[in-house]
Amino acid sequence: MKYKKKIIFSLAAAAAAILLIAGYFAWSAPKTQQGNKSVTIQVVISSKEINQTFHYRTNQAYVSGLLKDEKNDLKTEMQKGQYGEFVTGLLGVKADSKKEYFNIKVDGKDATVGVSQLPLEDGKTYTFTLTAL
Amino acid sequence: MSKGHFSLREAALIGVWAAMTFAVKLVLAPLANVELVSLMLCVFTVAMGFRSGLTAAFVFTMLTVCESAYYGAGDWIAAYFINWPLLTVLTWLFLKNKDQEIRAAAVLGLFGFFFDLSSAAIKLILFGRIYALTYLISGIPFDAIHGASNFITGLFLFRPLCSQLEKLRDKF
Repeated sequence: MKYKKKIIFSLAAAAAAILLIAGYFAWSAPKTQQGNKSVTIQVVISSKEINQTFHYRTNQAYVSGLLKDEKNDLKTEMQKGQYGEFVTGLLGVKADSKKEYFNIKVDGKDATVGVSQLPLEDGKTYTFTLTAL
Repeated sequence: MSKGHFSLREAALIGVWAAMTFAVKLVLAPLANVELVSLMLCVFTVAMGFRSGLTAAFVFTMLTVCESAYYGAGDWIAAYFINWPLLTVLTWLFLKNKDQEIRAAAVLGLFGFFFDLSSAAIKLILFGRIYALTYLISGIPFDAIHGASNFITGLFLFRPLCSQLEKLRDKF
């Protein structure tokens, strides 16, 4: 087989792989809800006897966006990690990374992704609980 | 090659090829799912025959089992015992000589793309349907890289490697 033909076949194989990977990520990415949403953010820090609820209307697609928008209100502290941003502090309480973390629940169910990938959905409650490791 | 037991030379050659294959595996380990193990076992089977190829596949797999003492064992060991010998069977069925480079690229590409099926089957038995399905779906990007890289390496390297090995075999 001629070298030129091999190059063409190789490019086709690489393109097929890239398309498949792009399709996979497009398909598996969290589906976001466009437009204005009404959501509830609950912060539970038992050691400080904090259990506060905040109601927001937002156009943000992901929870991280809302947490940044409402930084003054929620006193959000976030850090960038390997898998996106994660919450390190809320309402002035910073998690000791060796001992605790902010667990996230969506309507009472554990979130399977971090705040950068967690879509905001109308009517849902996002609970952040400072939890021991 | 003799039909009965392996001669000392044949046995040594199989061992050396399996060791080289293992060395190439280690060298390319930093590149996720880009490997030359498939190509090397395939080339060895075409040039030296099915029996030698199959034995080299088992010797190579045994080397990776020894490696697991360092990296830790897992169900992938069982998958390796299925996949690498299976590749020599596929090679024996579909590839007869070094001129079938496009066919070799197709066999290697498909083998790479479906490499995780055996692992998924093992996970299906051990952990159930959902785990196996999740494993398969989450592996799609890696399988795509594996398939495409196998196809490309097969397309460019199958023929020259076969030619070289056949030359050495004839001197041997």
